[in-house]
Amino acid sequence: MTRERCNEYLWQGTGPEDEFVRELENVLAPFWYDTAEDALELDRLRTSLGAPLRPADSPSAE
Amino acid sequence: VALVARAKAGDRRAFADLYARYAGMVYGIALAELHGPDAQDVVQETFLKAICSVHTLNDPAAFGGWLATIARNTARNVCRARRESGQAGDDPSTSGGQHARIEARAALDAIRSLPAAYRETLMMRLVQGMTGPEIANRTGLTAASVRVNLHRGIKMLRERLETDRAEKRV
Repeated sequence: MTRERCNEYLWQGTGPEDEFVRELENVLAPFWYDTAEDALELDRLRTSLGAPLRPADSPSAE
Repeated sequence: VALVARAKAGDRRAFADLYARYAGMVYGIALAELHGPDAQDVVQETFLKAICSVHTLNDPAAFGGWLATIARNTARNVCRARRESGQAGDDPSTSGGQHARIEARAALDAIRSLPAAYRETLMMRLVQGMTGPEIANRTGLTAASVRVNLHRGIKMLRERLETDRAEKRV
């Protein structure tokens, strides 16, 4: 694999695979953060900490 | 920019969209400093702070960089608190097989030992699967800077992991 191809995989995540980068992706896959799963947590946190709601944040604004 | 403007006006849905778009970047920054559970807490805390102060942001186009700064400061505060309390923390997913545990831990430790710009960019790319253009778009860094961070970071990481492996063989 040429250096350019290797760089392109690192840059775009596509194209001919760089084996070292691919191995790291696999090893680190369990640490991926699921934002969809945690999205509700944000609302709960804000409520529990009593963060101030701005005026347009009221239900009528939704 | 439009999303940020709507969030500034108090639109909760716009903020949820910003969360979906930027949480990966914030997590990458946090994971570059802290172990998994702490990094997840930093994501939540960062967005909470952002919700409370987004109205102070003058330039909506600067949102990514502004949020990244909040994330770094929050992560550093948690890091400092951890050090002062003597709690090291741990990465939960490392409780799998022995072989995988060693590799994942070695990889994370090696990334965390890199200069900040490299380790943050590599966490976004290798853990969150963000592409170079996505990282540039979210962080506000130029594409050229992200390319440099990725390429130099992966080079240093390769050298460090290979050195570790060689030392273990001896």
